[in-house]
Amino acid sequence: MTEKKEEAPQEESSTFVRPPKKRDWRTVCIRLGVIAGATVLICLFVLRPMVINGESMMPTYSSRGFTFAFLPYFKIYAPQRHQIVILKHAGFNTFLLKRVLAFPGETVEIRSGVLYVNGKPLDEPYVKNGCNWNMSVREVPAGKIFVLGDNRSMPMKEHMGGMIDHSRLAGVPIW
Amino acid sequence: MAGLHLTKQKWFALVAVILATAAAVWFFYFRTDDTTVVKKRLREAVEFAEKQPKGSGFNLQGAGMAHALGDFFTAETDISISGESRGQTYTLSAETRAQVISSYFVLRPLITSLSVSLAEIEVNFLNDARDTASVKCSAMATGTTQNGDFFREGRLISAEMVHDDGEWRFRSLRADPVVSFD
Repeated sequence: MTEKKEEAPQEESSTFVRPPKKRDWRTVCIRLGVIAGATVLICLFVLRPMVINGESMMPTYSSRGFTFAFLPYFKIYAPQRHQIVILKHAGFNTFLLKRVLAFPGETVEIRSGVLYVNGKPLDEPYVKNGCNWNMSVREVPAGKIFVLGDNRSMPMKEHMGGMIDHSRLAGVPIW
Repeated sequence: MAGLHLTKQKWFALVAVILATAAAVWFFYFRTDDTTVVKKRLREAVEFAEKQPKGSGFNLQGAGMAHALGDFFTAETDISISGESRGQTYTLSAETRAQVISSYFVLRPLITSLSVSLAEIEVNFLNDARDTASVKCSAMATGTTQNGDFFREGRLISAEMVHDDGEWRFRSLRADPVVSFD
């Protein structure tokens, strides 16, 4: 007489209990260090966070706004007319946000608030407020570019704009 | 040392790291070649300009500071600092050390706090004797005027410094706006 053994239901192989994994603090610290280092390097040399302080680019950018500067841009591309650029002001902590309007060899002139490049009025749809600025004709020297902010409602003397060394181009805002 | 058991190789590695760190600190902070000396002198002049004379400025301390600042310039000098600030165009010029002293004595009390940071300093020696140097840098000045107005101005500095009577001194100094319509 054979007794049929009742087979016990087999437990699933995946449902076993492991002892809690001991946290490897050394690895955690190294990972955190690498992440922090990479973040600092990216923020210093690639995408630099910037707080906008000033009203010279209104209404395109308002004061207390925030953006990132893409710093390697001018290592790859040349500046274009109407492009908004970030320029080194003094050192690497204070920058200017301006719009490129003329290049070396071109003449610039402002008559009753209208900018003329090579004697022709430049269409500037981003300038929302008119002005009565006047500036006699001058040529952009070699190695320089002509930049202005979008806000022309302030007196011309209070506006930081004009010729600036091409070498001071630092990057472009990403928005 | 209790609890510190290092193998021979690790001791060597530790000593090598310490030596490399010391060499780097010496190279970046304590090395004194001609360029470093000129840069140091430039920074000293800026630190001196930042110092605030106590009181109204028209006192003994102010006079002493003005004379000490004069030591940063040669007897015959050429200073031109121009710019536009708050709609006002200004030019500060001096041709002698005495004019530098009197300008400082009169103008410095108008600024109640001043901080200047220099960047992108370039020093080029203009002769083989290395006693004349052209210095270029950018400077950011922030501060408050006597009226309580805050200012922040960037300038491109170009100067000629000479080693005169045992010290580096400014023979000429120009501070121009970074961006201008002219």
